[in-house]
Amino acid sequence: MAQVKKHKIFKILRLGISYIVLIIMAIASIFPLYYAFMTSFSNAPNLVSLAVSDLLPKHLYFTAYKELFTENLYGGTFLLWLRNSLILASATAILSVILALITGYALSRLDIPAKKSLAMFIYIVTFFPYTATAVPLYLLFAKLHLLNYIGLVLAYTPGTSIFAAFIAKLAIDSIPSSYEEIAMIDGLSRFQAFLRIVMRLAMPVVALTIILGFSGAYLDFALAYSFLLPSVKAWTATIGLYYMAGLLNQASAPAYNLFAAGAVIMGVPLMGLFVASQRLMTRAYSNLAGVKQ
Amino acid sequence: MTSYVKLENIWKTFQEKKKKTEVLKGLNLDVEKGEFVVILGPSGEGKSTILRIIAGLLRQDKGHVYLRGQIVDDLPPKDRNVAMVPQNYALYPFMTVYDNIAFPLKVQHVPKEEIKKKVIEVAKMLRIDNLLDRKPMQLSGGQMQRVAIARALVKGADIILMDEPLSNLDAQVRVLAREELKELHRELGTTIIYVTHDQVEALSLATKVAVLHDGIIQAYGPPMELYKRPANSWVGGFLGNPPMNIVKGKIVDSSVVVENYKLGMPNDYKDLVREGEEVLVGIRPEDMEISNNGILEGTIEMVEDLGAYKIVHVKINESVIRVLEKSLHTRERGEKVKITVDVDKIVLFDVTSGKNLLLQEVKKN
Repeated sequence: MAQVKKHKIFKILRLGISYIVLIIMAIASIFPLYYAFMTSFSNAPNLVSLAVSDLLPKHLYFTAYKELFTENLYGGTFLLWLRNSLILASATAILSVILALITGYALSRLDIPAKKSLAMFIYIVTFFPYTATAVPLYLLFAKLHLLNYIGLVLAYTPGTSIFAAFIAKLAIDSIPSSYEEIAMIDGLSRFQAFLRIVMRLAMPVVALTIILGFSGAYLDFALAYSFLLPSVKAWTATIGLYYMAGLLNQASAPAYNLFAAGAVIMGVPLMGLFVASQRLMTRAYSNLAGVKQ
Repeated sequence: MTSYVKLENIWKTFQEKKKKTEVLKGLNLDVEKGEFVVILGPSGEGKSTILRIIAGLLRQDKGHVYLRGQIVDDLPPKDRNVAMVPQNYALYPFMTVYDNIAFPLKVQHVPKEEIKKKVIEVAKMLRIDNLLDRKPMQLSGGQMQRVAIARALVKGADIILMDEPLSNLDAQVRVLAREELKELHRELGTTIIYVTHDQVEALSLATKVAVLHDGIIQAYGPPMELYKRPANSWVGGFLGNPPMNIVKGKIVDSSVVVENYKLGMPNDYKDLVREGEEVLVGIRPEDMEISNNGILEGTIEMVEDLGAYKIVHVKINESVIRVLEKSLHTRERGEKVKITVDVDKIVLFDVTSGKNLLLQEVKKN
C-alpha cells in the first residue's frame, strides 16, 4: 500500500516538474513575440516599459501600421518592399527545391564518379557561415553585372540548397528504388518518375527546403543591403524597415513601434508557410508503407 | 518457332569500390510465347539482374536482348511493353489501391471510363475489388501481392516479369498464391518470367525451369526433366529437397562401384562408360530404401524428421548419403543399416566437367 502511494507521489512530482519546465520555456519563447506585438500598437516610437501594469495595453494605436502603408520620405511603401521580399523569397524557395532535390537524387541514385567525396564535400560546405560570403559574393556579382534580383536569388539559393541537397540525398536513399523502377516500366521516363514518384515520397524534404529557402531569403538583410541599396523601388522589406525605423541613425531615437509593426506584418506570410508545410510534413507517408519487407 | 524473349550472350559486371564482380557471363535464354519460365538460382547470382536487363532498367555490358523478335537494346523501359511485379511490390503509399492499379493506364492517357472498366475487371479477377478504396498500408501481404499483380496485368503487357513475388508471404498464403498464379497463367496465356531461389516454387509453377549458376544458365527445360535428368552434378545437387546424393564412383566389371559396393549398371548409361572410368554418381534420396537385403551398408549419423517422411543420413565408409524414408520405423543414431538402390534411376556425371554423361554423349555425335 505504501509502495503504491509512493509511486503516486512520484508520478505527480514528475508531472509537476515537467509542466513547470514547459511553462517557463513557453513563456520565454512567447514573451518576445507578445512584446513586439504590443510595441507595434503603441503610438510612441520608444520601447514599451516592462512594468507589469503595461503588459496589457490600455489603448491600441494603429499609427505605426498607417505609417507603414503610406509613401514615406524614401519614395516607397512598405507594402511594395514586402512584395519584393515575397517574390525574392518564393523564387529562392522554388529554385532551392529544384536544385536540392535533383542534386540529392543524383547523389543517391545515379552512378556518378566520386559520388562519395562529392557528398562529403557538400556536407562540409554546409558548415561554413553563409554571411561570411557576403563580401566576395558582392564583388563577384558586381563584376557579372548581377547586382539585382536574379543575382540575389542566385546568391541565396546555394546557401539553402546545399544543405537541403544533403538532406534530400539521405531521404532518397531511404526510398526503395523499386518505386521508380516500376513507374519507369509502366511508362514514365526517369525524370517523370522523379517528379511524380520520388518528389512525392520525399515531400517532407521538399517542405523543409521550401521553408529554409523562403525564410533565408525573406529574412536576409546583409546581402540584400549590399546588392540593392541604390534603387529604393527594389528594396526588400528588411532594408525598408531598417531605414523607416531609423535604425541607421545613431543620433536619433529609432521608431521601435514602426519596426515592431513591420515585423508583425512580415511574420504573417512566414506563419502561413509554416502552417502549410507542417501539414505537408505530418501528412507524409512512411516511405516504406507500400512495400512488404 | 521464334522465341518471344531472347537473351543472347549477356555479360554484366558490377563495380563497387574497385572490386569487380562478374554477375552474368555470357548468359543465353530463349523463352517462347506463353511459357512460364522460372529462373532458379541461389541468392546473389544475378537473378534480379536478368529481369532488370529484360525490363531495360539495367544495360548489359555485352550481348543483346530481343523481345517479340525485335532487338530492344536501346529501348528505354517505358517502350518495351513489359510489366513487372517487384519483390517488395512497391505500391505507391500515397495512392489508393484503385489509383495504384490505374497508374500504368493513367500514364498512357487512357480515357477515364476505360481505366475504370479495366481496373475493375482486373480487380475482380484477382478478388481485390472490395479493397479499391484502401491505401497500401491497410493491406496484408497477400493483398499487396495481388494489387501488385493487378497493376502488372492491367496494361495488358504480354510479357510479365516477376521478382520473387511470393517470398514475402507466409507459408500458407504462399501455397494459395502459387495455385492462383498458375491458374492465372493458364487463363491469360501471358509469357511470364519468374525469378526465385525457392525450388518448390520453381518445380510447381514453371512450364520450364532455367537453373542459373556461375553467370550462365546451367540447365533449361521442363521441371521434372531437369529433376530426373540433371544436366550436371551442380544442378543435381541444387534441385530437390533433400538434394541428390553425389558421390565418387568407378566402373568395375560393367557395374557402378561406390565405396567398394557394387550397385549395378543403369540401363541408359550402359554404352556410355568405359571400364575403370571414374564417375560422379548421383542418386536421389527417394530412389533408395533401407531394407535388410540392401547392398550398401552403413551407420546412421543423423535423422531429420519431416513428419510423413524422414531424411536418414547414412555414413558409408567415407561418404554420407541421404535416404528419404517414410516414417514407419524409428531410426536411431549409430544404427547399422543396409540400403537398396533403384539402379536405373542412377545418374552418372563426368568426374572432371560434372556434366551428365548422357548429355555429353549427345554432344559428341
